[in-house]
Amino acid sequence: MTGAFWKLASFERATFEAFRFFSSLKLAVVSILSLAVILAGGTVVESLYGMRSAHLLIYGTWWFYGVLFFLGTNVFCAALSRYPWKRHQIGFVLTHAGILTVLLGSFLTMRFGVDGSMPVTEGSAGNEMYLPEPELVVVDEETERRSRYAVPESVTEKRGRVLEISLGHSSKLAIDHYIPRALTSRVISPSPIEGLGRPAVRVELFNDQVHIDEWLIHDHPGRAKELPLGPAVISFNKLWTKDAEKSFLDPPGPKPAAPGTLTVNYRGERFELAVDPTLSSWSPLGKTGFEIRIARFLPHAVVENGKLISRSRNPVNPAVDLLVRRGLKELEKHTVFSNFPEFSTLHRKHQNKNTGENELGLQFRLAWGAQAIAAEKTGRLELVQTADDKRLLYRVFGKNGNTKGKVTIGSVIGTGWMDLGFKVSEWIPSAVEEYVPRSIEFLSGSDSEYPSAIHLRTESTRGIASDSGYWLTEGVSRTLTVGKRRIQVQYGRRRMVLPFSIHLEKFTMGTDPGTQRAASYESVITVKDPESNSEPKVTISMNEPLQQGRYTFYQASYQQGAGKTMISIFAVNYDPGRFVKYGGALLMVLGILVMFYMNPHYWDKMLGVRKI
Amino acid sequence: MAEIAIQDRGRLKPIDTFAMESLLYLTGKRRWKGMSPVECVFGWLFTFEEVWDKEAFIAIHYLPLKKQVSLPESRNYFSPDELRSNAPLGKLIREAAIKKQRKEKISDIEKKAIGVQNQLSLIHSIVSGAVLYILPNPEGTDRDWASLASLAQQASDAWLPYEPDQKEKLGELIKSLLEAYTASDAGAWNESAPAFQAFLRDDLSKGRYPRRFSLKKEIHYNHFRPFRWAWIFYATAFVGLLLYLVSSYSICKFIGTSLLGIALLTHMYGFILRCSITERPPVTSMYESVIWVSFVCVLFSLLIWLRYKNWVIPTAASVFSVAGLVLGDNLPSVLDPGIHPLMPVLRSNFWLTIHVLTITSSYAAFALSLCLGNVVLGNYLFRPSNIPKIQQFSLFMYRAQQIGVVLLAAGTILGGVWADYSWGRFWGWDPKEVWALIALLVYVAVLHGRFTGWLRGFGFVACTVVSFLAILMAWYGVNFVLGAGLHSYGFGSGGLSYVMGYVLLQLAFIGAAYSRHRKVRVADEINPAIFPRT
Repeated sequence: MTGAFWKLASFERATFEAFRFFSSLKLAVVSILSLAVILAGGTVVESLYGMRSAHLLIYGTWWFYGVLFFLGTNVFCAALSRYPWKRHQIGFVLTHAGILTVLLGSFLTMRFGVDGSMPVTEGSAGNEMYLPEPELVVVDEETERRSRYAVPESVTEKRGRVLEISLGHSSKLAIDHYIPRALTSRVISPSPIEGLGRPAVRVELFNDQVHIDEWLIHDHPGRAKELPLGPAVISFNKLWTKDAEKSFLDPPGPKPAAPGTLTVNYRGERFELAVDPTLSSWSPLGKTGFEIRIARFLPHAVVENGKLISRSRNPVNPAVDLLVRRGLKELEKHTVFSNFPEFSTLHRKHQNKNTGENELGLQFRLAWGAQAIAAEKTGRLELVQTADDKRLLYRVFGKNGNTKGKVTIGSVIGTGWMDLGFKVSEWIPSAVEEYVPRSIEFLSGSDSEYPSAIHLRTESTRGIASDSGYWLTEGVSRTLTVGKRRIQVQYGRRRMVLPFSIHLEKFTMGTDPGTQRAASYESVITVKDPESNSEPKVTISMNEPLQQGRYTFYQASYQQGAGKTMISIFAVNYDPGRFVKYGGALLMVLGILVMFYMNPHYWDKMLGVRKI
Repeated sequence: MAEIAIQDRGRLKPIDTFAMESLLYLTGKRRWKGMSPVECVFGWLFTFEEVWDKEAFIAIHYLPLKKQVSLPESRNYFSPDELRSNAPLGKLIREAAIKKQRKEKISDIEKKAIGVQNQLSLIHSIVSGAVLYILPNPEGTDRDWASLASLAQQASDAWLPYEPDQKEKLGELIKSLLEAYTASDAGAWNESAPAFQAFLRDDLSKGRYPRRFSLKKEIHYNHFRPFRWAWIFYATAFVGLLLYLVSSYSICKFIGTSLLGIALLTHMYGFILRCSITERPPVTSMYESVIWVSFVCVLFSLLIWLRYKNWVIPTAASVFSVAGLVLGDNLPSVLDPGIHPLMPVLRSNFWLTIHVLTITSSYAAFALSLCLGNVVLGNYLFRPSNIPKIQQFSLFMYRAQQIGVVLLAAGTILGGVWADYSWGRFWGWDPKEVWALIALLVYVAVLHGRFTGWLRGFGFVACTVVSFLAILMAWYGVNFVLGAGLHSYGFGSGGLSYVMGYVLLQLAFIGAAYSRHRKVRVADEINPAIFPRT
């Protein structure tokens, strides 16, 4: 044997040596344990930095595939080295063949499979799915040429040269900052260009229970910026003349009161309507598109026999029933009590099931008689910046009278209501606001909640920056001017277009009775496939996927989009290795069973019986 | 009164369950000064300001918190009034709440402060009736019920679809309850309580009310506590069997085995009861998994006993059962015994049920191999030269380990099948599945190690015992230590000191057995005649 061995060519000898090395049982123990240790490390990484990071650092790396390949070779050689196999080795061979098959199936999935997600908004169709890898798409607006660039990910924040893209004409695009989990926050700072900013104040309002700390930016000339805080309102305005200053501090006496005033707040806008006979027909509400009609006026509202009626004509408990419509569709019915502004005005059957709130976002208040003006301004804190931008003035309307004067930054002024004090902690007469992402630590739970962000800038090829750069968070695009060209940059997950589209008819979420907790998700969809004429309507729900072509759609989760529309999120998956893995798994378990529970003696007996 | 149904956290249950869970959450006890939980709830409802606001019954055990907000450290119970008026505590709670909202990391003290806040808000929402959703919805039992608080807010359009005379009657009934309670008039109470209960069931609900039988069943489950009886029986069975093994008196054997049978039946009865209450398969929470593993561990021991007829096997298994059931019975904050609705992906899923039962059964088999392994180690420590016994017990241990390997391999794969079926991913590198794979790899490495000759006799047993730590990690550690991933239904905290304590004891025991074994130097090589080649 030894002699024959040395007569072999060196290549064959090396092969033989390698085979002997890989088929060793001791190596198997070492490689099994090494894999266990690596996997344990992977779970620790996942716990600290999230699923995606574990993929980037361990499970998705070439060296990890190398380890699996090494183990596969080990299993293969070990199984082969016992050839020719004896009867009692059937279990052993099956098990090891099973492991190899599972590894092969995993390789197929990894190499050829697709695993992404696809959000579809209720009432619209989608045919694009998102893969986990981020990319930057650069579109030349003139030629409409699109180029796509993979953005290298990292587990932690990264500065410096992340990616450089040449744009031709001696200019380039550089990503110089990458944030894996970004929380975008508003940063307010003095305007770098004089005259281009807007007045901004940071107001704190507090007592023992509450502490409100908010920036108010005056962004519409001529209209006060208002921050409604339940029963109170903080407003901030900019005065344009010296006279306005005077009338701010010494307002003219109250106007003669209308019998009643209905105040409507809609997304920060305020409308005042006098409650008189004209309102019994539809009246428009500014430019909002809503119309309001008072159906019933109840000066002395009481509940009798479960119904709201007016007991007399005296304004004891004034209330109105009113209807809201847009176009010709009646949308909501409200009852507003003058004495009980804290009651929910909306009738129950119109209430949003999930939030218990008013869906249109209209807020009503009714003020009556002499109290109309006083009540209207109670709990109001008004701040103004003077015309010369040098001073900040305030006035407070409280129950116990009004106070007014000049604001000193940082000093506390009492308001007279609810023991609240306020202070202006910062004031920038000419400010700019920016949204700047900041890197946040991974907290156990889900890391997909926070999108990644990149900082981009254009440079000339000689490395001279031509601008200070822009932040792009996932899903954001921006148009840049480079030289004479205009290009659009889009940052987001890599997209893949499917050959058919999914139209979401309806998304429903069931809840556990008495709670808001999701109990089930269900999407009713139609598949629009240009290759087939029929458009079947299908329901996808949790654990009930849809198979369409080679793709399978699973109900993964949902999101609430703008205006309360629902977005259903599907996991989309194509897995060519599925049945290979299943087969391998079956072989493996079968093999272990045979190995443990059917000893040679038993086999012989069984086969012996068959022979007869 | 216990049979009043309440809608609480997405489930209709007898108020008995709600009261028990609330009392446990507030005081950590099952009774308060001789009062049953339901009595406590009505006490809070009717005499809070007069009695309970000043009664020290809210449990706070965490010393650093008490120190920081200067509560007397010697006391463990505090009254709602003194907690509310504690300014530093209020400040701490507010700050912690802001941090939590901003998703910043919060310290342990802040976590406990939020816990106190939760206790306070629970008691106050019971007192105001805001969580007492006992007014049935005549549209059906799967609809939203109304709380007692909504009765008081008649002016607003809170949901109450009753006729005016029904509302009036309801008001009267509650009033008579209140009067009877405050006057401590047992006769009046015994009259108005059933009337109130019957009114809710028969009148308001229009017949849409949980069946009396199912409410009674749950109350029986709450009070009978089958799993506690099970561990008591297991413990006595263990003593009986141990006496038999030591003394060979057949009377001990008779007592031990019959107690073991009774324990197993009680255990099973508890499971059937619980499953029929939850209306789902048994293993859906950490608590249930502990109970299930304890059960299957004994079953497997009997399976191996059938083959070898050696009573050491069930005796060793009953130790694990007692340990598991005692933990389940006494650590409600770590192993929550409550029955809660499942997250959507875990509902009504055939593959999930099969997967979970297989995986947890493999834990049970490994637990059995752990117990038997410790029996072998005990022999190495105390009777190191009794090689035939050592080899025989090692074989039992190996048999349990084999069952474990088969089930763990199958269970892990079934997990993949389930994941593939539910969201199209056979393997998603979820920590729970990765740790199941790690545990499998570790056991497989031990088996291969035996073939290489690296592990013989003592080494093989010790490594098998140590391998159970991987199971512990997959079972407990992923949910309670790593706390990440998709298997979030079982997340919790606490208990780490117990687990670490066990791990250290186990390692010390192995170390002691090893040093004795080294000293004695007996050849303990596995005897191929009794030990199988595979």
